[in-house]
Amino acid sequence: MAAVAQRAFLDAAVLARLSRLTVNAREPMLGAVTGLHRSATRGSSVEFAEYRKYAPGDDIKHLDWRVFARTDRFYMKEFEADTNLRCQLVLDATGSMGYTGRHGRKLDYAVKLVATLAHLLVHQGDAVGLAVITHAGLKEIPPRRSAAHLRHILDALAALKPGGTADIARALHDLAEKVRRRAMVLVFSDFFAEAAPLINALQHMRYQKHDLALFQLLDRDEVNFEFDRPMRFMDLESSFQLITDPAVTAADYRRELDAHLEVLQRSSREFGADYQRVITDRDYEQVLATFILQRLRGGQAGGGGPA
Amino acid sequence: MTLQPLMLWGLAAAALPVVIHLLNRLRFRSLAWGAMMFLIRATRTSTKRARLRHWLILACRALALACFAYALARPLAGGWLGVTLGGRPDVVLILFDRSASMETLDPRRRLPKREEGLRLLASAGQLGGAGRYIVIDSATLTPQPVASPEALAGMQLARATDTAADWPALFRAAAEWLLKNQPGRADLWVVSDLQGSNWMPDSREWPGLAARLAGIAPRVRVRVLALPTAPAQDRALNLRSARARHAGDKNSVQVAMTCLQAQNQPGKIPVVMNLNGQRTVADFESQGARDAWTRTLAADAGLGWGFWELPADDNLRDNRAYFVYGGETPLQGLVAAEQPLSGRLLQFAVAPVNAGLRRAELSTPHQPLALAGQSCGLVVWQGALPAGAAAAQLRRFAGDGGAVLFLPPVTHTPLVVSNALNEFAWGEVQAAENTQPFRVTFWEEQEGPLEHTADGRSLPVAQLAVARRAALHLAPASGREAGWVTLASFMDGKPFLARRAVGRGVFYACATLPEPDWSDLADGRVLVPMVQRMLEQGATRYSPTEHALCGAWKPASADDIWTAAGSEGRADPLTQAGVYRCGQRWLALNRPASEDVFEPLSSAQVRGLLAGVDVTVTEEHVSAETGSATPSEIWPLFVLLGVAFLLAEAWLTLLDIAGETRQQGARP
Repeated sequence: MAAVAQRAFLDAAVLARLSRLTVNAREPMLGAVTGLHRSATRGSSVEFAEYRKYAPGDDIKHLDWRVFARTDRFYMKEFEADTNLRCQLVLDATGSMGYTGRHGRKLDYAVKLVATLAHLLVHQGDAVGLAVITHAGLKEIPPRRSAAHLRHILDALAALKPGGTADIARALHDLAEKVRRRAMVLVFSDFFAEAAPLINALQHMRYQKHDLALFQLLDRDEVNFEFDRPMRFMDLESSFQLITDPAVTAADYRRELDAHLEVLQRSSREFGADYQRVITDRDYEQVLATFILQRLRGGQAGGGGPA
Repeated sequence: MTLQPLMLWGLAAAALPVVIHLLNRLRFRSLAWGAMMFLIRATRTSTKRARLRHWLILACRALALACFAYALARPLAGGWLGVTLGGRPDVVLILFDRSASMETLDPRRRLPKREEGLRLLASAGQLGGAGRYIVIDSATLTPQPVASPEALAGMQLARATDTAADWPALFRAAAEWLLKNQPGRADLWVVSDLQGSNWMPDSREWPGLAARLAGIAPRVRVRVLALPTAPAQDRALNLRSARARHAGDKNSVQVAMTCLQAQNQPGKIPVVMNLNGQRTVADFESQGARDAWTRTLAADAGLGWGFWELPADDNLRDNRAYFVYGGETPLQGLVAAEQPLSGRLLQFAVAPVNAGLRRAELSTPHQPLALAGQSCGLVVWQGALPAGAAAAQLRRFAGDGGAVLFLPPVTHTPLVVSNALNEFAWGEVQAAENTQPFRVTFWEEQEGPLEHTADGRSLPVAQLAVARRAALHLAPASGREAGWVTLASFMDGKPFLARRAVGRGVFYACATLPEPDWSDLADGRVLVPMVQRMLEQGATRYSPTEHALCGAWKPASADDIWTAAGSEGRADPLTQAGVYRCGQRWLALNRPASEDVFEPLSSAQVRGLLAGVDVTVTEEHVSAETGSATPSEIWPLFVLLGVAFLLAEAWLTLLDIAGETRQQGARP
């Protein structure tokens, strides 16, 4: 927990409450290590990896009794190889994620979700990787399950700054090709991009047998579009500016946005991906708890409402 | 046009919604925005309807404010008051018609047009606010300042008269006053019934007047309050003649009147006949639009007076006609003839008994006319038309009230138009073919030299046999000059006898001669009464009794004091008809006959007369519903309009809100 204390985006209390739950994969995972997740193959891994301290609740069959005899302490014996769950966290860090509403920046909210999930997954013994979509391209940290790796991920998250524009669909296509083995892919973005290529990229992900979950992050302002005076809107991803009277354009803006959200949600349902629409004024712990519990129940998360 | 023009500044409030809208647009807030793709689509694709609705809302707000501001200004719907409210001039010249026809009662209001005009002037004065008011009335043509149009009603210069109006003279007086005083911005308020004979649309003076008015700076505006409603029931009585008759020891007066009526209703009309204060009533038969009545009344010898009066109708002013009679009048004439026979016959016709007060001098056209210092009533001129001094002398003689009878020369003369004699000329002499003489088939029997006799019998004009006749080239009426009128004509329509009024006198022209090879005029049956009547007409001015037209008559001397005769209260001979007396002279003044026939000009004709001038003609016809000719205020209409715009604005706003609410319901 030393890493937690240093990170503003991690809340120890939240982690403690959520750690009672297990982040589960809905699809069978391919891995050499005996783990919490259903494997696509029979048998288990036998290659020793490292020791770790016993934690209450651990299966005592993996206790190394010889170490206990020598040191009078409980150590769990872990085996090196591929874990059963490889989780790829994909975070959109383009300019639009930098929108700052009354409840903070969207990217900061996304970072909280990503960091918390990474922490939970690592501590339940799964490998976690991070892919950040930036204007400069896709920045990847490959999946690992060590505490040191988690620190690496958290460092990367802490250093993130939103800006520029990027082709999200292209980035997802690339990622789908790079992650060869079945993995759980969680995408955190506002998905403000053309719907057709985006859906195409997500389908590509599913084609690669990845367990796909989408977190669409929206600010309350972006949804309601309620302003009481004419506004000059400055694009976060370019230098484009637009002066308009929201009273005049609000109705059409909402219609356009709703159509986009509806297409994304319907498409996700059609090709079996989880879809979470997250308004950033909501408690992120609740968002994560809902997601994890839905996974545990084995249902498809498809929250279209205020998730 | 508004009653509270200052409130029109409130119309600026209509710009408030637009200004607020623009200010709102200027004070926009900047916001870094992520979901730009939806915003661009929203502004690009389907905002037209929303924009239209918002502009409509804005327009409704602006129009509602404008309506309320305009309602506060109390707008008027047209009419005389509306016309006079266009700005505040420095001076208003009121040209006021006091002619007899202005006394016609309005059919509904039962108020003379003159008083209705005064009432509307007063209303306009209460609303207006010109620096000063100048009145020029039709009777005096003298500009006089008045405190306000309201004060005009009680003033002498707005009272009823029996005169005619001379509108070119009124406008001339106004133009001269404006040019002399340079008062700044001026309005002319014209109050008139547009009586055609008063406006004289054929006058050559109008183009010059219009040009003078149009040339005045700053621009003069003419606002005409027209009261052209025709009387519903009106008869007018006009005097033709009143002559004393002496038959042995019996004295009488023969009175001839003309009765005109617009309605053309035959029937018996009771007429009050007042002779020297004695009142009798007699019924006269009316045949239609025009009746000629003659009645001989027993009267004492000497001078006398009287009047006839019709029953009350829509114009009380034209119901009465005055006359005076009696006294010894010198009946003297001068005959200037080329043909000796014609000269002698004409001399006999003028003075059958050449003695005492009845005399006739004989000369030739080549001799100087000896008219000065004599009581000559008639000049008979037989021969080529005079020229030069003789023509001017004849014209002056007629202008002073004399009568001139022209007879043709026996020899053919080239066609010469004599300007001095009002463009009258003799044409070729025409002889009757075979044994068929020219016959006179039409002659005026109601009045004039060929009128029927006192006992009602016609002169034997039809029996005249004319073997030779001279063509008469007669000028028509021009401008203010009356034209030649044919009093008798041959079967082919060519004139036998024509007349033209010249000043206070008259010219006559007869187409034939009393020569044996010309006609049988020499038998005297037509010639003598014809010439005698002309002589009586020309000698009237030497009579101690005189008939004249009110307005046209002026006292010969400023020392003469004319007072009303009888018990009638009209005491101003310059403007009021009646019988007046100055020493041993008696005067009967009557309305001009032109006032008895109401033929108004149209508004377009008035505008045409004043071409180039800013003229607005408002015809004030009495409303059948309200009985009022004043325009109504229409501010309630604008209040209603304002409320309607506000309701429309509310409806459009609710549409907007409803649309948003539906979308809000579907929001995540």
